[in-house]
Amino acid sequence: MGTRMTTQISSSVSDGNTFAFATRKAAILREAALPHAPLVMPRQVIEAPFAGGRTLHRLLMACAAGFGRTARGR
Amino acid sequence: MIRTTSSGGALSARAFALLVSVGLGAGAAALFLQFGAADGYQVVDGVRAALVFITTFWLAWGAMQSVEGLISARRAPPPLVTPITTRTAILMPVYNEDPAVVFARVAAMDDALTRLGLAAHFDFAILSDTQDERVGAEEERWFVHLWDDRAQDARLKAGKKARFFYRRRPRNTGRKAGNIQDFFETSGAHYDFALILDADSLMEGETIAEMVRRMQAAPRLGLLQTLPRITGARSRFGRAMQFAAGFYSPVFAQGQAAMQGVTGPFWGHNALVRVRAFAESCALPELSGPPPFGGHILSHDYVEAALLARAGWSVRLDPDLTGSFEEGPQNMIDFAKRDRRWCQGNLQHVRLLSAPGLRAWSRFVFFQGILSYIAPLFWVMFLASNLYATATAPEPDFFPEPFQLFPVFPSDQTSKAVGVAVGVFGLLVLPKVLILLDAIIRGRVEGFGGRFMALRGMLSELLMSSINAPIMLMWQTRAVLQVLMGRDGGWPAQTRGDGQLTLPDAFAAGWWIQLWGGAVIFLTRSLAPDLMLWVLPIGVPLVLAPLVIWASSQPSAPPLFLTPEETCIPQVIADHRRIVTLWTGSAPAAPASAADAVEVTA
Repeated sequence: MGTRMTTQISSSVSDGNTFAFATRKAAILREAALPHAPLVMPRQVIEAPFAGGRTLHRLLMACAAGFGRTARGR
Repeated sequence: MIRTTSSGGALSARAFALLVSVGLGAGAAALFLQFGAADGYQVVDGVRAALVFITTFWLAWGAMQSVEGLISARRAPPPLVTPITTRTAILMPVYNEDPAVVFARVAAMDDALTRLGLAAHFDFAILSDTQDERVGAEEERWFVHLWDDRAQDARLKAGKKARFFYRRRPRNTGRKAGNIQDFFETSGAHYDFALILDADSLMEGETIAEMVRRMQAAPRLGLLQTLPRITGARSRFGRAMQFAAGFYSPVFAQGQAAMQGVTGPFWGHNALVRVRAFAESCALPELSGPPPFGGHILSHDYVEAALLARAGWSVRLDPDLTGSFEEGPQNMIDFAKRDRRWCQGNLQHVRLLSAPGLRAWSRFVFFQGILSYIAPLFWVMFLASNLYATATAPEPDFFPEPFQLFPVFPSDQTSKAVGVAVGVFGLLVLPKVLILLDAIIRGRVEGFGGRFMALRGMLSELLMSSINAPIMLMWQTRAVLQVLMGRDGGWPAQTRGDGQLTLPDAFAAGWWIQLWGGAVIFLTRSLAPDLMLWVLPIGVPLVLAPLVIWASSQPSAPPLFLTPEETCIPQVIADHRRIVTLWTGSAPAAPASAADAVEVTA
């Protein structure tokens, strides 16, 4: 009986400690939240997926235009 | 030290290095072509010569960095004493790490700043991306411990604001780059500068203060990178790497600083950034398409440095800034795992070579990073093409003309191939020898145990890296092929600890390398026995791979590979060890000390 009671007491003390720690931890984590001072970070453009294609297209168009001019000149 | 290399100085340094490297590559290729074509020119001779050009150029480029470093070395300037008028956030990103050990680093750095009377200018933010709930709960528990240890309740009661912050993201979107970006978007406007660390980073208070003062003095400086020294190594592999990083890296970094000018590197940690510059220029998008070439950018640091430079900010590496530390992998398996991630990240940069508006040097840095992982493939191709060329070499024709009276012996060009081999070996060894001589002249060897110990360290490291190189080559080749085949390596957490492997662990990681080693030796014996002597230095380490992996992970202690940080433990490292012991009741896994040589700086 005595042992059982001691176990119950120590268990409730332990539960109490756990609860107190959890409450304190929650309070600390609230205080430790990052300061609210937002900064805008504009998304950068780093991909030029069709850069090669565009250059090739421009080159071909320039060639075609050149042929056209040459043809017209004849 | 190079504070701001003029653009003219950087350009001439680059031109010099490029010219010499191309010249050496072309010379080696020409010699090898003469050797290969001695029995008549075949296509494979041209292929071999091209491979010799690429590999020799790459080695020469590395060697030139050390030469540039030796030429441009200057005495470090006296530290600045200007008052600190800015606020800096010290960011510690964590991802499934041991919180007690990591948070003790925060406490040690706070102690270092407090000793200088500068703590009020710095806040610490622990930015957790931990996805393991159990580790997350431990982090919260240890943060309470840190909070109490740093007396934050008393600070709040005194009406002051807390200096320690903790935030855990439920999802690690964008990985480390996303973690840092989230901080800037939440709290960036509160700070002028941010010191970005890794979970294993430690920095002396003096170093942090000097970095802030340098950034205050240079309004266009967007990022200031330090050269972190590796500490805490305990295995043979780890300590050899720690020695190499401590002994050679300062010279290579000096050379890099001379060549890059203000388009410097960012290595992702132990660097100070100007918050406004970083926020303006460094929000990374996801690359289109699936990983490994699309998705989140893995090697984000290189890209962020390039974006800062694109926006007109200076990015500088100051190799004279000491007191910056990190930890390295303890064994070859952990090294290969990290390398797999870096490989995928660097190869992903192929998508960014044509990014709009980048500086030419930034594009070159991407190219260099890609080449550093593709280079092993060229070595493998060189080995294979030599086997093929020898196996298919035509029989010598002593009587090429009809009715010829006397035989014509083909001209022996072997000496030219030997010359190329000696030259390649020289490119590997010469920088190390020059650095040793420089260290003797400048007295830098004292921190490494004196001339004899430094020489012994150099020779041992050379031997170890020669044995490890073929094994690393196999791992790198596999990593490149996996990425090219579209396999995503993910984002594994870093392995910390002593890293000691068992033989079964080593065998599990290295059996396939052993098989390749056996195949290389067998093929050489069958197809080109004349090449056996040349192939054995590669084949034998491959066959012994599990043994090499296991043996190199075993504990090692000074005096071999002694470093200045072992000779005289820096204060912040000693404080970290003391705090871990105090908090956990057990000392952190520390390297075996250099017996009576070890002392703590006052």
